[in-house]
Amino acid sequence: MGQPRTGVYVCGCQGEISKRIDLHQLAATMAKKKGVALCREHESLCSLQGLQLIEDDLRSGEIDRVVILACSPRRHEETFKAILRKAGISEYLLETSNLREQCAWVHEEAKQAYKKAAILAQMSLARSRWLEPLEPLRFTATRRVLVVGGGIAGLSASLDLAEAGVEVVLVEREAFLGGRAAQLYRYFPRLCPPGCGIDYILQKIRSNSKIELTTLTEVKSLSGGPGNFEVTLLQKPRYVMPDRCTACGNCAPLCPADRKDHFDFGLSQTKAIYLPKGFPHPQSYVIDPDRCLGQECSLCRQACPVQAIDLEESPRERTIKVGSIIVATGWDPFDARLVEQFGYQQYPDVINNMEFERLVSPSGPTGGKLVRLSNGQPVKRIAFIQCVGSRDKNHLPYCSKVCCTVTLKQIKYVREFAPEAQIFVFYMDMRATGEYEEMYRLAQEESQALFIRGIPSRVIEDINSHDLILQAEDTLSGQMVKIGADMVVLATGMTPNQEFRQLGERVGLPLEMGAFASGHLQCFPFESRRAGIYAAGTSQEPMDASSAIKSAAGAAMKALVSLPEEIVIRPTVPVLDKTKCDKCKRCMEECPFGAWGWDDAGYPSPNLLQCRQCGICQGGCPMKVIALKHSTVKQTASMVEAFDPSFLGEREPTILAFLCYNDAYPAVDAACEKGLTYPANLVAIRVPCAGSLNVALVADALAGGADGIIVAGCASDQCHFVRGSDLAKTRLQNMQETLQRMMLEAQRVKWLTLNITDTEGFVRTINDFVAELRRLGPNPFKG
Amino acid sequence: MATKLPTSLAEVQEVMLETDLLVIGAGNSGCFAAIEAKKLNPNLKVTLMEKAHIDRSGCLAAGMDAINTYLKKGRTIEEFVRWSRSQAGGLIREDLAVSLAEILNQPTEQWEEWGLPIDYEEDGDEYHTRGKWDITIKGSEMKVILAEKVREHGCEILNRVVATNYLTDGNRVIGAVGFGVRDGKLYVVKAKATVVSTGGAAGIYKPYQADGVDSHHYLWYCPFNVGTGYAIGIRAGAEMTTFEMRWCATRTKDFNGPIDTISVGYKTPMINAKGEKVLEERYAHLGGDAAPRFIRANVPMEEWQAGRGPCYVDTRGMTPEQIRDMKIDYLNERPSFVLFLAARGQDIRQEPIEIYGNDPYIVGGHTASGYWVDRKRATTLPGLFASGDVAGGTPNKFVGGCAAEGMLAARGALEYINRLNSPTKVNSEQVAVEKARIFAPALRQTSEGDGLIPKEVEERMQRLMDEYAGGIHQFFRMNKEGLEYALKHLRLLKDQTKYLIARDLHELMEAHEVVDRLDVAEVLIHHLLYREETRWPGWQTRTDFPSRNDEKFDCFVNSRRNPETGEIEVFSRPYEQVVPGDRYRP
Amino acid sequence: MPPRVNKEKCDGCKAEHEPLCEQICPGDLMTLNPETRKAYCRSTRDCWDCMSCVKICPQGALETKLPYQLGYYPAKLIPLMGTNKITWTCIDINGKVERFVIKTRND
Repeated sequence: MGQPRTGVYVCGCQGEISKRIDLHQLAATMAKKKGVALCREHESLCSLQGLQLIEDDLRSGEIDRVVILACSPRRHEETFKAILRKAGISEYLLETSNLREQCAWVHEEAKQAYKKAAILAQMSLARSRWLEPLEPLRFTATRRVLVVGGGIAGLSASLDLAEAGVEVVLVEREAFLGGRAAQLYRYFPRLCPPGCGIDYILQKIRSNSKIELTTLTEVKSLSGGPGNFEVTLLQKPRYVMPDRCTACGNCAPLCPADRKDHFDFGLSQTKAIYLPKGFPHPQSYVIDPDRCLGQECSLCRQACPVQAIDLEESPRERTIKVGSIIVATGWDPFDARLVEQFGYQQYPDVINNMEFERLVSPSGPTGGKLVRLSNGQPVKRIAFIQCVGSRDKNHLPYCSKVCCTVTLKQIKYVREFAPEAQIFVFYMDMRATGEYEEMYRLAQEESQALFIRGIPSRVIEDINSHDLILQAEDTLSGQMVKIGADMVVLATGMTPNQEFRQLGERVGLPLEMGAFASGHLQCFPFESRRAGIYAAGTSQEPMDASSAIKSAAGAAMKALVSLPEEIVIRPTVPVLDKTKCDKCKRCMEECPFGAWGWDDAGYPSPNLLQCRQCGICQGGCPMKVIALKHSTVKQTASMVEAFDPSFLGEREPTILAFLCYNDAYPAVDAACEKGLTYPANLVAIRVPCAGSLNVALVADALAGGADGIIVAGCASDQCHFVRGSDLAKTRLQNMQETLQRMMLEAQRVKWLTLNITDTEGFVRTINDFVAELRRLGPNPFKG
Repeated sequence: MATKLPTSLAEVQEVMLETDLLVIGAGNSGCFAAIEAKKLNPNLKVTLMEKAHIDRSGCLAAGMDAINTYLKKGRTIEEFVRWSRSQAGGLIREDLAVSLAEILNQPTEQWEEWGLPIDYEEDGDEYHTRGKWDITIKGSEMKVILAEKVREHGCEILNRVVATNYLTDGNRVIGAVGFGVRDGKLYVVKAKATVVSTGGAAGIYKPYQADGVDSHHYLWYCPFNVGTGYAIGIRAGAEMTTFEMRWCATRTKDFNGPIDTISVGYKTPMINAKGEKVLEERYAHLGGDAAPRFIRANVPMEEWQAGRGPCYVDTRGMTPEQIRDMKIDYLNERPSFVLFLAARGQDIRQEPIEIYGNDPYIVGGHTASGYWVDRKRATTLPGLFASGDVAGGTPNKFVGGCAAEGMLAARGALEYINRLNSPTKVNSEQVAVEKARIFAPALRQTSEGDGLIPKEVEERMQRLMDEYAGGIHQFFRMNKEGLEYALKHLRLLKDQTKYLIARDLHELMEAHEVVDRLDVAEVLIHHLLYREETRWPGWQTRTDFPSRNDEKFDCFVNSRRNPETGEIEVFSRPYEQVVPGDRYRP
Repeated sequence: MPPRVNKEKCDGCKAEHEPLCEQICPGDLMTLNPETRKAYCRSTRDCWDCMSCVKICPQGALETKLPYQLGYYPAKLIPLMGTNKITWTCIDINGKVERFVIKTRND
């Protein structure tokens, strides 16, 4: 490769830039710089004529890269990239400099604006020397989706995908389908029995050849990335051959072993060989190995008329390839034993709201009778306690969203089964949004439930009568309320399925607070923190069944779009220089997306399909040997090197700012839109994420003599790359401590969080910072 | 976090490796050897065994501010040899010096190509010079750069593996055995040829700063170079030369830092307490300012003895710009010297820098101590080549010369490999014996829980050497009786090493370091006893034979330890002059 | 004497086994305290003050102190590593500050 031949193009922007900045002089200056093959001035580079000019130069071979001095890259960078592509040149050989939004429009003083424009141009030229021709990266993809969980979300996502023509592998851990919804008596929003809805979906699923459905199956391990996951599935033995079993039921009566049926939360029993409740799939008996007496007994085998029993069956493992994954593993009720004062599992008549669903269900432990579990007597007084576990920072710091409406629903059950019963509801706030407001009204007016705003301090049982005593302060009336009840229903919150938490650990899936897989909803909706893995239903966040179906449709859509014939990704990926890497593993530790693993030679290696290209690995690399292509340390260092800290004269302080391209850079661009101005002392370099900035570059800027340095990113909880802002802040704090020891004012290095609308705040900060730097005097490394 | 020490030999995992070329010691010289081998034959498997981490191991750990041997435009090989010969008191292997000079500049130019900043004269293409043979570099990261290139050339690097002995087949060297100081494993590396480049030996003598709990390692020479390369050669019966030519130099007092940076770089005169420019005024007969290195080294010590100490380099005439440049030089080589001046609150324009001698080192890059090699850098053991500070015969190699010698050793080793036709076999009994020897201090810790920790043995040895074998506290002087006393006690100490215990892998490394140092010290005493003259006052001052005796000792003193009996045989080899002229003048 | 470890800043390099100072130390002296997950020097007398660990520490958590036997309190020498240059700040016992910027690599 010879010396780079850069074409520099200066845009007047129909006077918008040229009225403030002397572009003739700028063009003349740039034309003389080393490496500049030609320099042209044009009134409107983004016009057809302007673009043609660039294209012709590229085609002539006179230049091999382009520097555009014009508007913000947010306006026309794509336009100029397109012209490079059209001319048959990699679009990554383009560098743009923001002479309009961050110079001509915001600096009123022409001389200063010119000086800043000149330094911006110089920095862009420096960077252009290190640009590399890059082409999109292509990967073959597997057009198949794994859906984990056969509850209502998993079923409906599977069906959506299959109907869109995609192969689906649906795995369910239990022997039955339908998940939590199948356990309900009635479900939202129409309060119909879940059976008909689930059956409706199942009919369609069973008739769709695109879906392979297996139960008693779990995900054992997972590797690869979007488009090319390799998943190992573990299928537990059922000990009954489903293709032979006719579900005749001859076996179970002979079976000597019992088991508690967890479908009924242990409130009922089956034999060790049993037909699962809900929607067993396949429609066949199954043996619980924990309870079965084994070979020595074999009574079921003798009883089976079709020789369907195989007590020697062993677990089966297989590995499948899929392009994306939907996690729909559902939820567990919060373990109410943790809130000891309510006596859950101490007193038989204190139950949670899911147990209540089973109690009234015709397939439930009482065959659909609302009776006390302590003595089988009808329920005459029933109390609901809301927010058990939820909205409690010691347990679930979030609102579980559905429990209020579940109670409203269950009040209707009470009226159906015990029309005369008294109903009490202890609550903090009733949250019944949308059409559920009507249910709230009906519960009060028609069902005559008594709502008491206050949570009982405890539930006590009368030993003789088993009556339950609840006492609470009604915060509306300020009165102490004490009532007796036959039954207490705890409106327990929703926690992610505990199997899911274990799965997360097993496959390295980082989970959010509360261990849901919510991800970044605005920018990466439905996607967990591992690319290509989407969450549906209550794996995403607490929700009711109807929302779960909507959520499933969304997740299916996202899974679908990540399933092209071929995966094409931007080439702006991290690349490791192995000759300099010392395998410290920080990249792996700090990557928010778990994209880094070890390669065969024992070096860290990014899974490019899992990578979100934030560059946090580059920012943290102590050896500076990770290069995020097109935003490399080298490229940014060349801009820092080209920054002349005295560009406004010896006395005037200058600031180098590294702005995150998601929020901070647009916020600075926006100043002009609001007609604001700020001092020309600030020169900005854009970075993909504040976390991508290696502190060595801040050291370079200080060593180079910049009086002030700003690193700006999104607010901590708004970072598009989860940890970028927090890591950048920590790294800068570390440096500030070092600066103090160096007797260099730590405030010269400033961490700033900006959201896209923070323009006024930004302008104020800059004004204050310039004033502060004037007071501090020049950076001692200057000159 | 440390791996647990093995409590039985059965626990020790063995790693068996095979390679074409094994380089022991991935310092400056070893890295150049490895790269040269890969350049000559990219298909060759090259393995480096390094007890630290290649990025910062050996003498260049802290950096370097100058290449002190660079043939500038117009300089000839003969001039270089004459200069080096005169500096070493007329005793060098001229054949080796010539072959070295032929490629002396290559490593430096290579380094520059790899990104090492080198200063240029303001008006041209020539490197900025600071003495006759010296150029200034910005070498604080030069070892890191070199290590990157070793990896780039596809060499296999075994970091944190301590070499303990060669693998041999008869007297032929077929690789080496060592242990992992991090993983506690036994490493057996079989090689077609082996280059040893582990550096010289520090810590044989007690440093005068050893009075402080934190300053034991305030040595000029890299304290982690303990003479392992010499020791494994001695134990295998390799011929060694000129150990008696010890490296004692003028260093900055207390910090024990390099002084050429100031005296050569900025032409500051050496003065005594009376302010006399001592070299000019008192040592003119020995060459004055151009006197050989050993004279210059001895001057401050002579002045102290004569009651005219302390001595200084007079920095008071330096300009502020020069002082700044000098500090930059130090920051590139031994940054903590700048901290030292700050900790003394010393403005060296007002107050000169005090100088003193250092604890003696055995360093073949500065003096002629080391393996007896031929022009190909082959040692007397077939299959073994030596380069850098472990290779003898060629003083004044310094950084550039040691690097160039690494290249020569690699070339020699490759020629040897190409000629090789008889297969070799690893003797499993030899491996088993070595394994037991390596882990003995660890097993003793388990079985006895009591014994000698390596540090106390080291301190006993260092005091012995200091007081009876011409250490700094004795102003480098020695006599037969003292040396024999030292030898007697060294033998005792060597016998006592069976009581060494190690409580972790780091201490196991220290145990082997002191074992190695004792072997070097024993050979050193034999050499000092043999040369019954004073050829290099300071480096080698025999109070019982105060003058030079050309009739008997204008020759090399060599030694060989019989691997079977442990007897050390000392004998002489004649001097061969290649470059004509007065050997005592440049 | 070895570098002092600022325990607030040291994050043990988030390492399973070796933080960078341990990995680089030519004397095998820096190591990780398995309980605190912070680095420390196992034998202060054996440090050469080569400052390899100070230069490589990604957190800026290490500072070389001269043994008091050789020099007075509280002098400082602090390197700051850039991409291809290093800055040094030296503060002597009288508070006099000197600063240096030195190129470490050519492009």
